[in-house]
Amino acid sequence: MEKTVFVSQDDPKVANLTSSSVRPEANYVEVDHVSIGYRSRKTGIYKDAVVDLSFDIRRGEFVVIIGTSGCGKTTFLEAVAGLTPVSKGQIRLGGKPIRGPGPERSLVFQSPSLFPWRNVRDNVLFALQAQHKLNSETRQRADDLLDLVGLKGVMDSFPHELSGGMKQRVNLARALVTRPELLLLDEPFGALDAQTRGVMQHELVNVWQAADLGEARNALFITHDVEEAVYLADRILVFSKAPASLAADISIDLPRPRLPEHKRSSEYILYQDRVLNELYTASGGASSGLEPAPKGVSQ
Amino acid sequence: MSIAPPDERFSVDNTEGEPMEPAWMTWGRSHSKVVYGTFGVAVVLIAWQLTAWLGLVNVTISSDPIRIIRAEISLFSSGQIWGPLGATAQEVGWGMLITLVISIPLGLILGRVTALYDMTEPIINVLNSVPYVLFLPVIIFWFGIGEESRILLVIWAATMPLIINTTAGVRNLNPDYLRVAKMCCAGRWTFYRSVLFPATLPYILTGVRLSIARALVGAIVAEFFLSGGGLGYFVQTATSNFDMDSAMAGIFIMAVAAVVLTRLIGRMERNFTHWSQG
Ligand SMILES: Nc1ncnc2c1ncn2[C@@H]1O[C@H](COP(=O)(O)OP(=O)(O)OP(=O)(O)O)[C@@H](O)[C@H]1O
Ligand SMILES: [Mg+2]
Repeated sequence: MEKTVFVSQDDPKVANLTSSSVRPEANYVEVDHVSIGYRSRKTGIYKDAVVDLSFDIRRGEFVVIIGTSGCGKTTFLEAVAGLTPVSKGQIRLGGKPIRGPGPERSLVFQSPSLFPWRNVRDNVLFALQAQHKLNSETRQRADDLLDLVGLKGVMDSFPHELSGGMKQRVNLARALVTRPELLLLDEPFGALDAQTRGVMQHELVNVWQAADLGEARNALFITHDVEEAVYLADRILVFSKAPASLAADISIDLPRPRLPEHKRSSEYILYQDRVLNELYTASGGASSGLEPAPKGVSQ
Repeated sequence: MSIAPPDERFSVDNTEGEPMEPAWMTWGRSHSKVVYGTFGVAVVLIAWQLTAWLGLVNVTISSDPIRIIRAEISLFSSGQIWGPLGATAQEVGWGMLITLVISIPLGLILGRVTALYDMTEPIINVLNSVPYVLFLPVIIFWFGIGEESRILLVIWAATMPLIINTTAGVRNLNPDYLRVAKMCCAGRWTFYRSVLFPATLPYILTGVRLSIARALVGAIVAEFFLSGGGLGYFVQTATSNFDMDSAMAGIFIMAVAAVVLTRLIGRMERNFTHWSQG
């Protein structure tokens, strides 16, 4: 896109090229008829995990993907991360097809996956070190981020001295420290108890809304939890049961900043009910292994 | 560089209401292993000394602890032992240094590159199974009877366990670490240095411990055959001169060196890899 800026629009060849290559700037991620599958190592049989998925994500959107267990959410997220290749179609990021991991993307892993031989600060610094971005300014930023997620006091502690929630905070800080344009989160709070989970959601929203931490950034967040999805999302994508395809696309028009106490308000509950209904339909009724209705709805 | 893990052996549960005991008893309880170990050694030494005093054994053939101590004093005060000790230390030192420099990078690479691993695994297994002493005549034939041959045997003895352990460690790498490295766009050098090496360090240090034990044996065996000096040669000549006290003194020095080295590695294992237990 950029290179067309420097050439004359009068040249017919260039004009042609320009019109075909310029996309609406607002579309940051383009998922274009994507299928992803695995070949079994034992039998060699190929099985789709994601089938013919198509949607776009605009710049600055916080998108939450929700779907039943095993439907292919992780598979899709890893394809966006560049860890898994797509078998059909294309995922584009700012117009360029994804070929592998890149510094503009960060992944918050489902399990914290910290390096046990590094203390908290050095775990966060690893992301900078790997991208040769380690300097006094980024070091300061790492410290600020750890402060922001409430880990100021344990920066010199080792992972085995931390609780699960603290580890997940480090995981989050490590992903944010490189100022990613696109933050990918795979059920980051899935293993936490309900209370810690609530605190962490709030912190993520805070970090997300913290002005100094970035411009218009994108997030792609995976969860099982309907309440969590509505609380965090600008937009919720409901995946069908395996192999995953897009079952519903719901915009969440709730104002920000969002606060934990809003979760019980009627607007939130309405959205939660709607997402839950879509989820039931998408997974083919209640007998498909879906969890019982989450707390927010049953009360 | 790191927070040492709390050493449990030093913490004693002093539950309320229990009668206080003298400090030495507390120490003895928490160090019972050391206490028993020292006791065992003392029993053997005293028994040995007693049999010598009672004339049950011939001290010119068996020596006895007190005579060994005397020999030790004269060896060190006359400076006679420094030559052999230095020679052995030099062989083991150079041999281990070269072993570390070769085996650790090689082990890391072999563990990562499956094709190389499959290619070399049978060879390494064979080389590790054949007693390395068997290669000594060949080494002498190729490299003569100089110090190089002795160092070479040390390397030959020490290198296989370290390669095998390092490779095993790499192949056991937690796949999560690999994904984190990939996701952070770590280059190859960063990956090897800052992820693979530290993740494998517990295995590497175990390998080093095995390696040192074999290096010491390799050095002594080489000295037996390539009579050029060193503790092995010293013990051998002392024995053939019927100077059993000096021979035993040499063996004792070797034993102390082996224990110190093993302890040193053990300490490194605890300090550098405290995270792998917790
Ligand atoms: N490495 C793999 N090899 C073969 N099949 C796989 C692999 N990873 C996932 N699958 C299969 O792909 C499907 C989707 O898996 P995926 O992990 O993407 O689900 P998910 O939606 O993330 O589930 P969950 O919510 O439980 O994490 C599953 O049927 C799973 O068996
Ligand atoms: Mg998953």
